[in-house]
Amino acid sequence: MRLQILFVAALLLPLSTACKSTPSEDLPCVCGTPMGDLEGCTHPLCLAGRNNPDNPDCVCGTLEIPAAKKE
Amino acid sequence: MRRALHGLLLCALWSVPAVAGTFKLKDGTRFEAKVRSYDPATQTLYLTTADGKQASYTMAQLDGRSVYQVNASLIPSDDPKAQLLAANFARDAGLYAHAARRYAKAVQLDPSMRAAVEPEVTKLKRVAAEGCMANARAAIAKGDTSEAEKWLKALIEKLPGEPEAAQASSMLDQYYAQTRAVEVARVEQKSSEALKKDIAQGKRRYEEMVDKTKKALQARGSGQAENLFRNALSDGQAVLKELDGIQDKYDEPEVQERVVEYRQIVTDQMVEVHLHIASQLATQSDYKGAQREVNQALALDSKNERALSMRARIEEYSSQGIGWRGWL
Repeated sequence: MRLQILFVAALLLPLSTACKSTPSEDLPCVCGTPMGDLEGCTHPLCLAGRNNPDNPDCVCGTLEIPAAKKE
Repeated sequence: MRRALHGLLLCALWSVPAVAGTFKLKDGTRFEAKVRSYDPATQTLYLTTADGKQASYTMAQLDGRSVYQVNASLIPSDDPKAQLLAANFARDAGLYAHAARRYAKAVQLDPSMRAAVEPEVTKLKRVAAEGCMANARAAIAKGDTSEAEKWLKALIEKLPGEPEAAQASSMLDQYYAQTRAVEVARVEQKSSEALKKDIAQGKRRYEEMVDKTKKALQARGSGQAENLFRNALSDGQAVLKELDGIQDKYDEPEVQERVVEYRQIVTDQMVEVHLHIASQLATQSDYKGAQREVNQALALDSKNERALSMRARIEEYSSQGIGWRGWL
């Protein structure tokens, strides 16, 4: 029985992770590169209007006022 | 009238946020200040420093990217005038995509601003085209033809009305086929004489495919370009079929390896063609057609970054209703 559960889990695990991530999530943040500055960046954080903290050259996240500075 | 409008817009710039930001100069100096205005004609930013003094810095002195990052977040997203002037600053800082997005946003928020935005967009196209050509020439000087080709294609596709695009089109004659011939020669060098003989017909068809793609990029009308692109794809399919036959004919792992390499070259070219068609369709606001082409590219190469990136871009533009090349 235990073995069967393990077998089913092993089958379902890759399926569940495949559903969670779309290929576009693997896109690199190209902010700061000459082509990125021309074409824009399609990294999910940048497209969402947020800054990518992993890229010091990322200047996205600028279309909305941060909540703390609204007042 | 135009001067008065310009003055009004100048005054409106960043007058809304009263929060001081940290500014960075190109020499690394940092200081606290508030923005008073930005004059795009002289590319000068006017500031009030923390001790109440008035100061001004030109774009040549400022770390434009840092200044944009700090201050743009303070700009109200619903203020079209502020969006326009932030766009001007972004453009002068070399952040062309950000500028384009903000110009489109300004017009979206207030369609009556179109007249004020249009001349600024004309300047954006001008500087972007100059930048692309400079990058292409720098790559050529370094002998990096594939990097040069990237910039030449960007010019042709994104800035078709600029004089540099016509120049780029004729420069493609020199580099486009050459870059791909180098790739084929690299694999051919490792191939046996028998395989070279078998691959000869497919190679000719591949060269035709490359030539048609290049001609499509240089074509004036979109109809003519699409026909050439479609013909190029037919050539690509024919080459893949040839390769299937060769793969079945030989059992040697070495030959199989070479066929995989040839297949990759053909597939890369087909992906490129699909993305060119997608870009063309997106320009005509046919987002469904564009998405279909991108999906066909991804069917050939599911990890292709340009295809994934274009898919994300098409989804964003179609959902925002800004238009694929709203700034062009």
